[in-house]
Amino acid sequence: MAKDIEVSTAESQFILEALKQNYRLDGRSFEQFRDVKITFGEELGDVLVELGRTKVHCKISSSITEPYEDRPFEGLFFISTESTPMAGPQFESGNNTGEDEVLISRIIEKAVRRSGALDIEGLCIVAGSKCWAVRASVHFLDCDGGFVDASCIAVMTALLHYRKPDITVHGEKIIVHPVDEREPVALGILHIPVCVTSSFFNPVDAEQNIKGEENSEIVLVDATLKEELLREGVLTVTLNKNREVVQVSKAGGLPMDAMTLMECCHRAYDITERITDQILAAVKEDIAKRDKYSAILSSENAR
Amino acid sequence: MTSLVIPGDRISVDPERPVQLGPGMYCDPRTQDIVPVNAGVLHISESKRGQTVYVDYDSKRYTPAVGDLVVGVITGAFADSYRVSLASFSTPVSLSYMAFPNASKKNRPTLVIGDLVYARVCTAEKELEAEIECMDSTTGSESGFGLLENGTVVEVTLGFARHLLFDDAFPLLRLLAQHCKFEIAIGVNGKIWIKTEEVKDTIACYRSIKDCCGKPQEAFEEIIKQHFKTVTNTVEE
Repeated sequence: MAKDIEVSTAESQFILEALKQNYRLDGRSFEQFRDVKITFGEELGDVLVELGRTKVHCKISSSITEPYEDRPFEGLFFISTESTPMAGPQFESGNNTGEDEVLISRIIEKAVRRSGALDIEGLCIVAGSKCWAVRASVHFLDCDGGFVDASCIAVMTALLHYRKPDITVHGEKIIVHPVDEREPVALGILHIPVCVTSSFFNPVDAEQNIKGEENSEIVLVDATLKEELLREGVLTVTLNKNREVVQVSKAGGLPMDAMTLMECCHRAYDITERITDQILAAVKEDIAKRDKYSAILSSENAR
Repeated sequence: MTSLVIPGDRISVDPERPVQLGPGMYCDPRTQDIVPVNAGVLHISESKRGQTVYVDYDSKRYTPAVGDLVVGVITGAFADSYRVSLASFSTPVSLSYMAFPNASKKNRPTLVIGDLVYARVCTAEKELEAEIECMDSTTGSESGFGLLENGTVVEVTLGFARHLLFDDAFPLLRLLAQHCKFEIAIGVNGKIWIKTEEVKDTIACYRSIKDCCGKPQEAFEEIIKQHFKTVTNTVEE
């Protein structure tokens, strides 16, 4: 059984030729990010993100556990990514050791967890003995390229949307209040990283690219599956709205110079700004919709 | 006579006369009941030897059947045959070196891995690898089969591809022809190869075919017009 999507030479030549003439198959411009659609599930922290035909689901769950011995003041935060054949036949069931799958989960891990997007010190309950463990489970449902970008948006939206049950601490004893008894509390989000992936195509031959003077690489933002299969280099930049570069990831591929990198970052910033606003607006709208009691409890009046 | 059926429906055929089953139909070996196994439009027609029953259904997975015209990608070359993929992630089929016009032991075809071919399925047994051929085996002539150079491939659903190939009243190709000159090879495995003189026309055809798939026929004209307008505008910008 074939394990790859087969692309014929004619087709790959055609896509490259079209790119040279400034056309993308789906009609987008080179630096256009696909429209993001965010849908919330019934529970808090249950998010479905659609990026074109790509679909990623993320669900946050939490439990109380013991912190690591060497970090008594910090809670735990895990991100688990799982790709199943549901996303596409190129993904094997129960085998997430493929190069692409590992790379995807590493980049998300670096973008969200290692950048300190979630305040893990705020998850501490009793130092050294009790803390919250927050888990983000990411599921890939449909694949049309841009998994990294979509799942980063999904994880961040889910974290912003999630509310953990309120607790009271009496010395060593803690009381967990059910959600219907006390309003659950939001997680501490320090910043919202957004990944933007650029793909590189080489319109000239390989030798020209290394030795030649001019930089003729074609840079595409947010490649679709077909473009991903044919690209010769990939760069993922993670930024937040404060103009901080969280990570730059480029694992091999076409060599590129500093100016191209700067251009990619600038382009990514505009996209980041737009997506951050979209995430915040979507979360705000959904939380407001769930809030049935604030109207009754509010002391605000017409005056 | 045509009607919509779903798997397991009871259908009425004259039990006295022989019945030929086509795709989407199944005959229970014990009860000898004839039931559809796919959802689609049921066709019962009179043929010379009795009645022919089949279901015309749309799907995305292709299984080879004898006589099908297909577009495939060469994925391997062996001592006496090529391996050809008709659809990603499905069992490959073989294309013998002898299945080309004017083939002999000395005269080998010159296809390389990654090439596209237009071919006809010549054997398709359930447990065996299917075989395809690049010639009309009755006359031994080329008859339009063989290597497809340049151009691009559009992937559509199988039902749409069959309509495009067999339905003479299907308006898509005629509408496309009003906008540009093109060469086309339609494979019932859901792959359509198309080539025009200019990249922008190919792009417009690609998008039009993709978008028309699953839309009512009345909407085709507007979709195609829109796509050709978009590609022309992109050049001017």
